[in-house]
Amino acid sequence: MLENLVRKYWPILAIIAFLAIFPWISPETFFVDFLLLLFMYAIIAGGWNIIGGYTGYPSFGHTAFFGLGAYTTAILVSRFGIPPFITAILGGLVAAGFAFLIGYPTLRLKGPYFAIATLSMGFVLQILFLNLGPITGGGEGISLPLPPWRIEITITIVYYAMFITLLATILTTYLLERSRVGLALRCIRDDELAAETSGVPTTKLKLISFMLSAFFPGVAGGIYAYYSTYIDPFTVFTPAISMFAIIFSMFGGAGTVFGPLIGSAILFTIDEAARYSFTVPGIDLIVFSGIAMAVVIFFPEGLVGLLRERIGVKIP
Amino acid sequence: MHMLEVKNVSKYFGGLAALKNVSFTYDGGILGIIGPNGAGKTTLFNVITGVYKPTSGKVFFEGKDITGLAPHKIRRLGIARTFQIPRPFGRETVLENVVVAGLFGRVGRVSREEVEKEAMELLEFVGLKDKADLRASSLNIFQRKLLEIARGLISRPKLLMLDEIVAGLTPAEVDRVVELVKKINKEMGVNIIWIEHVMRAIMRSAEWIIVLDFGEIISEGPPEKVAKDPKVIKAYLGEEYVA
Repeated sequence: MLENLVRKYWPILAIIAFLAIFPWISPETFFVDFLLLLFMYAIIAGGWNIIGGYTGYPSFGHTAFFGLGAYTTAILVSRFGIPPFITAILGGLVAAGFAFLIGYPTLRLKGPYFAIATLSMGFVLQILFLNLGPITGGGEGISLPLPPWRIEITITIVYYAMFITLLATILTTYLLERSRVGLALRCIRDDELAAETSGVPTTKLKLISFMLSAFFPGVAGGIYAYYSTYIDPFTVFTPAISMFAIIFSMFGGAGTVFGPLIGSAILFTIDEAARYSFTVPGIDLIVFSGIAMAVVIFFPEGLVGLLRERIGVKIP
Repeated sequence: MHMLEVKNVSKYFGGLAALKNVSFTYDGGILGIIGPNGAGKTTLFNVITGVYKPTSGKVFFEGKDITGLAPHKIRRLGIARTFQIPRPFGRETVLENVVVAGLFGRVGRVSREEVEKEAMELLEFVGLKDKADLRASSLNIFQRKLLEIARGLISRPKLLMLDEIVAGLTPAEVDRVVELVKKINKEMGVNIIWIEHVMRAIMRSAEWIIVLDFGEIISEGPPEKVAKDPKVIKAYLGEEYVA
């Protein structure tokens, strides 16, 4: 049993093992820092994938869930001294709760209503958090207490937190894909009316899928707040995060288990490299938008779909 | 108590009446619903299966008021349907297309292995067994119609509603589907309400025919009687053909 598992999944297990010991073998903290941010985007893209990739309802505002998670942790840690990794999970739940509030009225409707509602939710929260000064610190944001140890230790802790959350996101997606709910979600994506008349409670499952899709980015936001020790409405409620979630996920393969991770790994690396090479800000967004358009037109199932089709590799 | 009772059902889209005060009862067998294009046949199906809420009137299934119930709930009560233009889950396999309706279209939880086994049997029954692992988007129109039937049957419905299941098929394919439908009714004991625009297929299968025109029932009876009804001939062919 265990032997079979190892034989079948050894490349994945090897990568997991390597990443698990990486902070101890990394020549520089820079690489750990880089990877933990890569993981963060992979979590957000992976969360987006559940509603956008599997269920076929692209959200244009996943930054809202990330930001809510970040603020939940920032407020609870700085005001009430609650341990940050408990608050990160609470942040995930807050994000899922907010997804319920947005999804309940909009996921009953077909058509572009959902896309428009999600597009506005990031902006609405940004304005709201700017103006709720007494609770959120307004435009000045919130500073979190610095941990009493060296920065390298914090980075290592945050690295593992992101890593575990990423594994949880991927494992959840994997189990979801193989479950009957996952099959139902894919059928909703393909033809919602046919799914409904086949007995699938479409509204309920769409809502569950949206909440699940919000939870992981919410957790990532909480870990990020602890990592950055300072957040404000402009950095955590930014359309860039929403766009990255969509583009990374679609590039790697929306509606596949590993697509968002693969997409994030490649594009985030390019993005970081570009940031150091070009001095003009915003070039990465132009490049990414071009990539997104090319993906939609030439290989709608992303890199994973392309590899499956052309080379016949069985990537989940 | 009737198996199905449609009572004074009207459906308006804005000012346009798609169904006007339609009433009928049904107690099993093969019921054919015919009528010219735009007569309201598909609208009637959509009202019965919960896709549309009627503007007024009620639908009862086995004595239970199902008017305005969500389509997935109506499916679970035992009414399955096919679509005139097939609606396969294109990116999923043919087998998965059937399995999903088996997992969700029944009351209570069934094991996936069980449903997959039954789905394979149904695919063999309709003649799609060798396509089971292909994506449904790769099927042609005839195969898609067969898939619609298999997806309908997997939930073991009491009533299967077929919406123009032979439209767009070649004469040979029409014959195969007609045989299949008769088998489903006689051997599996599934009751069938069958919409058809083409008269030929339905006249030799249905025991009872309802004729819709401009949203109203204009004639009802056994096929041979309906075929001679001047009102039906007029609706289909125009005034000058009425002998």
